[in-house]
Amino acid sequence: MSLYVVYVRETGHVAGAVDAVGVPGPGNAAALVGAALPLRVSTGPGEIVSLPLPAADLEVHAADEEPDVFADPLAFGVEPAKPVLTRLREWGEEPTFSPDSLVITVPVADQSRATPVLALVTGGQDLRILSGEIPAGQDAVELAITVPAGTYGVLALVAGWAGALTAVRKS
Amino acid sequence: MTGPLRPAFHEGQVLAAADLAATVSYARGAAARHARLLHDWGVAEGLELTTEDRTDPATGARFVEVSVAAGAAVDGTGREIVVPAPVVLSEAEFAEVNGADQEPTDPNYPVFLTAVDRAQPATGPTSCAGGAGATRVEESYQILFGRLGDERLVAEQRPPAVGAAPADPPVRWLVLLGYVRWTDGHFTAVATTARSVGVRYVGVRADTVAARSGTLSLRSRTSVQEGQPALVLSGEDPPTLVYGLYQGSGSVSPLMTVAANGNLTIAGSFSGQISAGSVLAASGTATDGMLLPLPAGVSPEEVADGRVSLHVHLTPRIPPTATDTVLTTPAEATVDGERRVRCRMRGYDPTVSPPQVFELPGAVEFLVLATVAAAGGRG
Repeated sequence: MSLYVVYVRETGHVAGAVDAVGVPGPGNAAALVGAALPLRVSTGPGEIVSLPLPAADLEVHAADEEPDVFADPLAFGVEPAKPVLTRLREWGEEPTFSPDSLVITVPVADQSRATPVLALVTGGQDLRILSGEIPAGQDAVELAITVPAGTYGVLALVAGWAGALTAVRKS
Repeated sequence: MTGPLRPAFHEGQVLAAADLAATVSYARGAAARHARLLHDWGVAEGLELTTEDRTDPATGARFVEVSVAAGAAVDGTGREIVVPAPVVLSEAEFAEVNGADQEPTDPNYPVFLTAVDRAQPATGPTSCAGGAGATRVEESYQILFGRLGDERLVAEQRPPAVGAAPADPPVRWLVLLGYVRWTDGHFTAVATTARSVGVRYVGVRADTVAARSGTLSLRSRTSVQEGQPALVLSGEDPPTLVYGLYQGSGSVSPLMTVAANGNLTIAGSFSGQISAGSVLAASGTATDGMLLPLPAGVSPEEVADGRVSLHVHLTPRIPPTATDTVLTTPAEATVDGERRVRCRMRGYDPTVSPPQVFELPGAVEFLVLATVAAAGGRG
């Protein structure tokens, strides 16, 4: 049995996983996800939006057995420098919308270096891809985005913290 | 056109030089036809280009001295060409042909061998009637340097007619020995192939190859070498066909064996097209959004064009919950036409106020069976 995880190159978050017997090893992420890996989130009763991660932005890592990665892939990460599957720190606070930004706050600031952040936002039609970083010594970042009121599917990836795939309401 | 003329003699016949020459010509013709018609021409033995390191005393530049090893070849006319001793290639002769070239992209120049006759001085008593011609002809050779691209001339040479007698003097037939690299007035390296044209070796033309010992072997070297491949057709009891590699002992370690009853045994894995009626399987676990992997040996193209059919069985994998009060059921567990998993779990927690229903991406355990129908046209 071989476990393969696909992870976001920019932040290291695992976005999908497959283990199998009787299959050849995948040459690249596209062999496992096609053109893109669609992450889906419910934004209301019967409403599901898709947040596709392009295969070109994903990498493949052959990992040791980790059953929990199937329950919550985004709770795991792969550090590109030393590709090892690790559990990320839990992150209880969900992203919020301000009038002109998406606000992402982590529980503890990294005092030594800036933290890369990647976010995907969709209301079902347009997909917005936001990237930035939380400056060293700070615990939040505001990613500029202006959207009408409504409920949006958001994928928020903060390096070192478990990813958040959730519905966020803009009032 | 007459066929080969075999000299015949009778008692009292006055033998002329032409009669004696005819005996030689008859034998030469037969030998040449055998070599030309029952074999493919090329290098038969030796004749490798070898190098020895040298240093130019004037410039200190490193170069190599190139020699042609002793050996033999058969040209396309059936003429045997023997090089009895190693020959050092002349840089001066090379420079006469190619010395004016200006730094070509691929500076590998072809070296050819061709047959020449050299008359030897008469030996023994001379005739009172004059005619003090040579009584021996050395079947010698000449080494020629070609220009860049001349290696292609080798393939353009045409053999003589079936019944043609050996030409006298011999037709110039180029046997490629290899290539020399020329840099700054010296040879600097040798090669056996350049511009996709390599040294050609002798071959055999035969529709039947029969072994007297009961075992027929084909190998890729003239001598048995450990690690080199061999194909052995054995008529022993039971008969077998074995492909394998030579061991140090000289025996062949089988990698593939075909037994007399048709059973095939291989030491490695098998790949290729799936035979009709066979079933390949893959199983495991995949998260929402991932493509189900195909069994080894099945390509996406084979699935797309219908040569291979997939049978997929999914079982939603109920994730562990943080508390015992959360009820989790599969909301969706399917796979689309792209083989992409679509799995969502619906949770319900009645203990919170108000009670919550929520959905999360899920994972499935899968079994993929790939089958080829017997009517699919694949054997």
